[in-house]
Amino acid sequence: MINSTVPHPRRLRYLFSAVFLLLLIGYSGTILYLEGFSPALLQLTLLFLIAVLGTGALYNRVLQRQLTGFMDTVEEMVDRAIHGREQLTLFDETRLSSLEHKLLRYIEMGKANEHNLAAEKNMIKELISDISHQTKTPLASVLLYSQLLAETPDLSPDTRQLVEQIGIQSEKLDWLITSLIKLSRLETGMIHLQSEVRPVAATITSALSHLYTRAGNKNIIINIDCDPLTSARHDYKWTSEALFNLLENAVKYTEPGGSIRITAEGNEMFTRIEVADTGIGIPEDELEHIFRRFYRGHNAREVEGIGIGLFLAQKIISIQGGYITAASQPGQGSRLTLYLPQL
Amino acid sequence: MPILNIVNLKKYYGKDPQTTVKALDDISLTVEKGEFVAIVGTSGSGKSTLLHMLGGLDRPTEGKVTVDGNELFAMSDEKLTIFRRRSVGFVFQSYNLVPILSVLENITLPIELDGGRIDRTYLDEVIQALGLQSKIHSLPGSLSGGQQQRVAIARALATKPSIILADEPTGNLDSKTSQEVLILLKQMSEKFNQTIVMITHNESIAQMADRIIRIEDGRIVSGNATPSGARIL
Repeated sequence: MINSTVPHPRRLRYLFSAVFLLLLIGYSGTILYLEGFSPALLQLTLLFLIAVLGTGALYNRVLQRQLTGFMDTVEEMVDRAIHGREQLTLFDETRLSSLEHKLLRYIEMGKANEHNLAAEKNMIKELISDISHQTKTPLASVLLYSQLLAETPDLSPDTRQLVEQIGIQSEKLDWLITSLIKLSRLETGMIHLQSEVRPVAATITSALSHLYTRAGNKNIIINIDCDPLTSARHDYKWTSEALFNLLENAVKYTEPGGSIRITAEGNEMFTRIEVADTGIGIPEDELEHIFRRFYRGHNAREVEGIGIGLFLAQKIISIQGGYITAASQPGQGSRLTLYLPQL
Repeated sequence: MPILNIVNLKKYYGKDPQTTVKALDDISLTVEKGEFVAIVGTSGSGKSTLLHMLGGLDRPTEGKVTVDGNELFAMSDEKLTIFRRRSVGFVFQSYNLVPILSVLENITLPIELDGGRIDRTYLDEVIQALGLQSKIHSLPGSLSGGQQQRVAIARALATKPSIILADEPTGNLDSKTSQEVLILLKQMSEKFNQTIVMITHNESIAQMADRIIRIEDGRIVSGNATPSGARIL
């Protein structure tokens, strides 16, 4: 659009060459007609022409070099702006310089906008974090009082049931708020993950240790296939939590008597930890949604849960440069694979 | 902000109405900046034809394609070539690396063809993110398939294009390496806010995308909706 108003450089060159040739022919014709054939004059004219053309070419070179230099400066400025480095400031009385300053101003305006947006975003995140945090204390009291109430000796069965429900729901709310606090801290970068290359076996064991009793109660067999030397770059505590969320789901959605298989192996760039269960599975059209916040599968309605575990796990792993994928055969089980970078 | 806009795109082969093959039959589609879109379809569904149109490699019978505000088929062939070099990054199934150039030379080739300056900081970041630091002086022939495709991804990213078009990027790789390459592609799209349109016939590969568009007999059958709130928050 802007380009179309400026003639193409090649066409411009042809035009100039044609004008120059026309002038040359006209000039020679006139001389020959007025003076007849004179070698001295011809020599002089030739010398003069060469001198003029030479000076012209030299001037052209200088101009071109200036232009390239200017282009380089502008390119350098844009690069600096992209990488957020300090800008070079040049002051001199040329239009190039004033253009540079206009560009600089434009870049600064963009930066200021970016800064404002980031500040606003942080305010919202802080608000979420505050809300989550401030609700913790009253919630802990609700939990405590409901426990005290449940310990009262002469409660009617109906009342006892209601008190139990209050307890269960408060615990659910407590877990939800704890997860939301973790999420907002992860997202705002308030938590710095201690990622280092270490064996994954210990991390898997740590995640499993909180689940042995529950798996045992449901008579679920857990197999681990992991070379003690298989390692990946990860944060021990947080990765263990992500794995726990995957494993907890596996235990939750597997029928009593089923089995869970954990396999870890290294490949070219990532180490994969696979959690395969023999549970109810995930329908194909739901697979792409399961990592969404508060998404719950249609088959999962009867089981306790709020749909934040996988979302949190995906967040923890992707912050570390990894990813979690899911595959499933409904009725036969699901396979969640966690990829962690090796370097 | 939409970066790619397709309006009523049609590509018919053959003039006789009886035997006309409708490779693309009235396709309209919008892709937002930074989105990672997978186009899924069986062979012959028109997905490759669509990708060729998006990259300006072929002209449609009818319809408009706008990439980053530039209407592709209003341009002359010469301008289209320059546009392609600057604004479109390609990742092919067969990697298409130059065998006699080192990894680094392969990656910087499109920048040098265009006469541009190499932005070292950005390039180092890309090379690091794709885990190619130790390989930059190797020749492509000495690399594994996964590594070669990673080089091709780095090359596509090098010019900071408006859009990256990936044509069955994992077609020649085993399933484990395919997953790895896809994870990297997805991470690149997030890290550099790079728009990626990928065609594939592999469902499990497509699942990694933000949006899956299914195409059959030259028509979009599902997935033509704007992404949900999941990405915004």
